[in-house]
Amino acid sequence: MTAETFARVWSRESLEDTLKDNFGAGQDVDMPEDLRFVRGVARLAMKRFKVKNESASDAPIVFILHPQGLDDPPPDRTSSGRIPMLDEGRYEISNRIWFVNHTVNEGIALELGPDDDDVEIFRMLRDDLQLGGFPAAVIETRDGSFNARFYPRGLADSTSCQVADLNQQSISLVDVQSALDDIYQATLCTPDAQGHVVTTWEDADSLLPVGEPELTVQALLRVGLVGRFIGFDIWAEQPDPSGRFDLLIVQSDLFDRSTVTRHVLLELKVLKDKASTGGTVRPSVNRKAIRKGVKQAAVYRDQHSVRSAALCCYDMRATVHGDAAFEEVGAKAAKKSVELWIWHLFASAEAFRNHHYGPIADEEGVEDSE
Amino acid sequence: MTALADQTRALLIIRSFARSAVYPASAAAIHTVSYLADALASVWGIRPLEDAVLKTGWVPHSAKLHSAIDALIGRGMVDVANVQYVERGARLDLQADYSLNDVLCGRVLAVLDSDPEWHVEFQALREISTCVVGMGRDRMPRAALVDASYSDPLLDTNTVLDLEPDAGEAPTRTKQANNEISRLAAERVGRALSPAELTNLYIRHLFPLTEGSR
Repeated sequence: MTAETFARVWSRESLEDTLKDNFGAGQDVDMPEDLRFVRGVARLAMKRFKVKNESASDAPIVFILHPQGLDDPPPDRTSSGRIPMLDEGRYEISNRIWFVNHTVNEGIALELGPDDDDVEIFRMLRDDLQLGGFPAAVIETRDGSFNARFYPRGLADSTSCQVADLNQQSISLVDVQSALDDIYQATLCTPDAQGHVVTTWEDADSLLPVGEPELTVQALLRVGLVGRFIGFDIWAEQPDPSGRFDLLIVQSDLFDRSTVTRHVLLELKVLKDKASTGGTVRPSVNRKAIRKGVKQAAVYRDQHSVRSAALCCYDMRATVHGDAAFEEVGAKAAKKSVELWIWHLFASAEAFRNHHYGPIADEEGVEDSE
Repeated sequence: MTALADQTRALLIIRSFARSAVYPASAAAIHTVSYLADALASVWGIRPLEDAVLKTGWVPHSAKLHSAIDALIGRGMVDVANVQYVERGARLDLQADYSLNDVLCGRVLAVLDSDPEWHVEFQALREISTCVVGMGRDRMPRAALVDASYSDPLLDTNTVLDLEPDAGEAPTRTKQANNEISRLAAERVGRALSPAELTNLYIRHLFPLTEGSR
């Protein structure tokens, strides 16, 4: 390489081009592989159909998280050979079954024929090729639609299928609240839902939280939101002169990925009766946390030019407060256009059931207190 | 690094390829990832295996890594196949494919997974190997050759490339390029990049260089 070429290759302009084409790659390094996979598939599909204007596929485009591909591909099928730099979007992806890695930057494809309809494709993958248990993503482009169906447990288990609209250009607060409701139900509402590894509870029976339950909530919400808003990015806790925001939902421009639209900022607070050390947390401390949360949400939203912001409170206290927790700050939040949302983290499945459905009485009519 | 740490690095590199299309991993792929991990060590805050390498015009070869892999083969933790020697000028280069013996590695890898320091190193190695796998089997070994430090035209072949300059000395070309990417991201996106983001952007900048089209 000559000195002149070297200077050009490593110039600011050249690096800027790389940033515009590739910003966002590696953002999801701490996510499970199957989530990285479906995000990579969505990103590739958007590049092909939105940027490169590829024509709609005659059949669903199936991606399987199986980088090695097939040892013995069906003899009546044409294989593409390994395709490097797949995520750059240089290759047509339609009318093929793809075997890719979790970042979708490399893969191999089987060509589909004109007789391959949806039923035949799924049957071949499940029954002939025995690939029904591998995480899969299916891109649908027919009839004007553009969506990704994600099968985290494979095509053989359609009950786990999640659908993402790849035409989605914006996210409303209603979308986010609905997503947070689902994430709460699936991973946060009770100690059982949280599991034993990533949990807010040190000892739920004693209402004792872990040292930093906010980090647990943030991690669970981030994974949940990444899975829900597949064409978007979820940034967490960026250092900022005014502090650190908790979660920010953004979207990169398809033609210049370093141009980012900031849709919704989420400020998280965990309300507690006890500290992790066992000491009592006074009600005034929780009220102060809520007041501070409203202020932080408004400040960070304005500082980062975010369209909207919400304060999300996760309440580990024994008593269910609901929206009454916001009595003191309601007017101020409305004035600052900060949404106020609260979810109660029940210390047991029984407490959850009792709150939502009432206590269960036994045959003698005595309420079960367990 | 101690010999045991060298073996851990070797083990984690081979593991980083385990679920990829290029597994068992070739010697060239393993040395390429190890070199890039050293070149990007400051990005991740990990210890480099080699703080200096000889520029030869072929994949930078780490004698420490080579010894570590041999030791792992001797301990039965790594399996080797397709061994052959290829002439490169006046010397013979070993070509071989390496894979983990899952039975003998299982407990060691489980212990490493619970160690935060090695977790970061594995994350770095896995991200680097995933990026270079994207270049394709043929071009993958060129990734190190087009690295900003290694391809610096001011550095002649058969001279030593210092990957860990002393304080007060100019940072490596790789470090300078990463600093520039960080500055650009701060200007355009308004935030700092994580080590994984920086690594992805840096190695993706190498992509077209491996095709010689830039």
